[in-house]
Amino acid sequence: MRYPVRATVLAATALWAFGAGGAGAEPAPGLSMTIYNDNMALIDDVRVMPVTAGRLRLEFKDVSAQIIPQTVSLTGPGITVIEQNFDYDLLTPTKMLEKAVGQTVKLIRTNPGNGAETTVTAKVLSVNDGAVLQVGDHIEVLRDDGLPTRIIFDKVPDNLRARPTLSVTVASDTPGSKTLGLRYLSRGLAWKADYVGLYDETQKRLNLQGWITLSNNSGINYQNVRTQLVAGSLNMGGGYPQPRGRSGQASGLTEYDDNGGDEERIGDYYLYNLPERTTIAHSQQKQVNFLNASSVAAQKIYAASASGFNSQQNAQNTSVVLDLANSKAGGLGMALPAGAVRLYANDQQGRAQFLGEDRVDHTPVGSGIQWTVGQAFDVTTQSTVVDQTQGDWWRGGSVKMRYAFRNARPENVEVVFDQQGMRDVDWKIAETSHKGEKLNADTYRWTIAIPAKGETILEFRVKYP
Amino acid sequence: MTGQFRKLRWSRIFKGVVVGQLLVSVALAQQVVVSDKPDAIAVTVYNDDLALIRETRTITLPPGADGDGPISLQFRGVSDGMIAVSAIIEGLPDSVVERNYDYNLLTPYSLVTRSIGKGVTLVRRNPGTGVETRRRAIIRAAGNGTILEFENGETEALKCSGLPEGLVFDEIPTDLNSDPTLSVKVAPGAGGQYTVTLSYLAMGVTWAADYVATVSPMGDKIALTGWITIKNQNDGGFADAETAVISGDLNRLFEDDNIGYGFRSLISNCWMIGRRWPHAEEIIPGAYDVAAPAPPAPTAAMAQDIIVTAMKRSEAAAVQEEFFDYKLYRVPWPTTVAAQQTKQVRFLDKAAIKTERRYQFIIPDPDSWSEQEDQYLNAAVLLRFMNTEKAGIGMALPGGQVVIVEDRGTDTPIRLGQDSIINKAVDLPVELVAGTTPDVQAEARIVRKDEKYLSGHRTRITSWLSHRLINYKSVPITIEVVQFENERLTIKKASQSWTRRDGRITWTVTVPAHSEKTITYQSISEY
Repeated sequence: MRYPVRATVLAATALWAFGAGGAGAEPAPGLSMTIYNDNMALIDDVRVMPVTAGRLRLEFKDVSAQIIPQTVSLTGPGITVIEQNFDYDLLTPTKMLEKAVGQTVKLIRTNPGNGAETTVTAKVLSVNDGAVLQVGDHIEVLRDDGLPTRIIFDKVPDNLRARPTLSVTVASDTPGSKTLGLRYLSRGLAWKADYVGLYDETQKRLNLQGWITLSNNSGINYQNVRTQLVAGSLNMGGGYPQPRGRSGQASGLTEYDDNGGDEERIGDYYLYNLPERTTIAHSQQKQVNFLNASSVAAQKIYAASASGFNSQQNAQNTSVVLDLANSKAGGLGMALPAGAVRLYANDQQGRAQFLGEDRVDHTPVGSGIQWTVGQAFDVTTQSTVVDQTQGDWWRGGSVKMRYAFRNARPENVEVVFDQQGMRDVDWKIAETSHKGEKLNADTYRWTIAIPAKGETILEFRVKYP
Repeated sequence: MTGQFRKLRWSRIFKGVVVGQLLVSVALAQQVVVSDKPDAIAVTVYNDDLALIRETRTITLPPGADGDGPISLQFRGVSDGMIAVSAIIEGLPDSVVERNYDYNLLTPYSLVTRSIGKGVTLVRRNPGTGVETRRRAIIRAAGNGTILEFENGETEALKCSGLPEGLVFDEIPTDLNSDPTLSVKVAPGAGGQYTVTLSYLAMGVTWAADYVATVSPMGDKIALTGWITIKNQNDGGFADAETAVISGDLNRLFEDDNIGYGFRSLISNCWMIGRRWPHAEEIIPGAYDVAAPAPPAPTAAMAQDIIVTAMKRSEAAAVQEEFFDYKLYRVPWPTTVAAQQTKQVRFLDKAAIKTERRYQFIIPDPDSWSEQEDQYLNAAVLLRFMNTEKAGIGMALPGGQVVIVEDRGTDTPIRLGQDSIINKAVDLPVELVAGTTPDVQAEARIVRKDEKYLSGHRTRITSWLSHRLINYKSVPITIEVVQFENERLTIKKASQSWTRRDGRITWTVTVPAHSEKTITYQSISEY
């Protein structure tokens, strides 16, 4: 099986159609889970439970500690929910003493000199930055004397729990064994994609594998869960989605045609199903392979950018960028979920060595991809302000820049260079030694060829009419 | 050893359904095959607190019968800095079904939290009499403070009383390991012996370049020795490892998920105890220790130690190879990088690099400098060379610390100072600041300052500057005067011409022995 994870596309509206539906067909008992990228999961917990007729209280231990209580819904034949409580007041020493305020506890003091133990009863008056106790007719601060003092509680308080517990009070019309569906949203479950790429510099090919990494920090283990993953960012009340853009990186170096992929983009999100039921334990990460592309065309590009007009005392390394197309023709052509990519290349002894890593955005078929690998040791730029108009040169004056591009490598290279930080929107490039193009209101781009073991000087003037 | 390392066959590794589980194991009845340690190990260290580790292990899988469950194959003793999501296993038969990275290390925290609901023995010692009492209890809660319930229903918190007390456990939970372990589930097959390569990235290992620059008695040459300093801050070492380091700035994300799990410390989380310890127990629930900070930069003292070694040693050093857009240095013999160890290997030894010595003054921005305040400056001593073969070097220089010493023809060289360089490719100039000297001084002054109001609420500031450059040395020297500039500043009417040297306005002045020269110019800025 080449792609064990099946990718389908989901209409946005279908996602949230939970609740009353599906009453006819009874779901099979078990756990299923839909995990979103943004640390959020929809959990379906179907259990067969014996119920009595009338009012009763159902307790669900082992629910996520990061449950969002207002999203809880319980459904079952002939079941009406009356009240639901989520108790996440966890059992800790401090909580236990707080719950004992107004009540009596037993104190056992040990005399460190002779070992004699004395037992007294005390009433807890306050627990707030230290505990205040009433012992007999006087008031004491707990352990203010520094003497060993044990506090004995009669029992574990009822409302404190070792594990978060959801309790639901329901009314049932008939007694008997019933299939109950518990559904809730929880934080603490997340997934992302991890990509591993082996780059062949001479063939300009990338061998790319994709792995889905699930992580569970919800506090409990999910055993034997049917799992679905949704790619795409859902709006969780955070307002209008922010634009994606990344700063400090050459972007849009190449434009690609949409060569089309297998996925139908009818919905707004992509859905991935894990092939088998699985167990996701707390503090666990689980990986599932979903992409094997053995020969993706990928160009290595040197990129540099300057923000504003400065003189540099030292030559600066340029960035190494891998530039590829998410297209069938380029050897890829499937929607890539967001995550991270780790890139490798073989050294002279044929061993894979790590090159660097970069973030991967949700990448639909047809888009271009630029991954920044690292900094090129041998390809550098160094800037010099040659001259500028006196005073506010960005108001009707000009600034002349010189950039020295140096290449210590044994082959010719090209550097894609962006001048940004133009100080004003009204600018023109003049007296340029190399032809470039205006990309946008704040960027002018040159592609500078540098001979092997050589140097190229770019000079231009930015004029502000 | 080399032959045992094979090129990673990436297409094979990922073929088929591979479902991996990291960080936790689920106890199932199954056959267990344990690989205690690697046969051979190769380590590539990067500058950025990162290493790529490649382990070769020989593994014998038993033959299986129909109906057998999967075999659990355990790789014990992987590095404790392992970045879980980066692990790659190669060389196992195609029947691999599952991959688990198990980081359930046996720690006080994991022992207590995994014993919730189990019976333990509470041991207390009376501080007065020394009498030890033992009492059975059940752990009701742990992680944010431990709570014990006794047979009579009484409940107490552990380590909140001030008495010496502790827990004795009946058993170790089966899913806790004493070593970081990676496990793989393999479907039973024909069995046999396999050579398996496990590669992963790990944190806690880093390297930096350290240089010693020895200035010749004449001052026109330097000898440059370069050392690779590898630091391992992990609790596990790498024995007889094929070792390489890579110089270059890698793009990193710093969101690696390996830290944290298994490293939580056990906390008492007691009630506030009087006024004596107001905040000591105020620990955020769920907080845990993170990875150790990056190691400190090599110190001058460390580099001084190297000098002694450099004088005595002359054996082969690490060899530089071209690799992608980085530089790879291979240690030509297998070496051991022990836990918590710093190791140094020479990679550069150039005896005579043609060097210019310059004395430099940096003149402050006249617009933010009062004309009443003359500046008396001592010169910075610069050593400048071109990284070319012609000059006697021409090799990639990874960035690092440089200790500068002067060879005065006696046995003990004199330490001049310490500087650092960034990565220097071939053909780039390299400049070292050895320190400052009172033998070369400058009196920098603004002779006159004038503010003129222009139309449109603008102001023009004109400063007349005059700098007296004094050479107290008995040899002629070359002085560079650098005018620090703001982006509005222009230079006019200079007494001698200037150039932009590495982007900065620079006058180069030769001053004979025991004499002085003065340069004058105007700086004009409009605001």
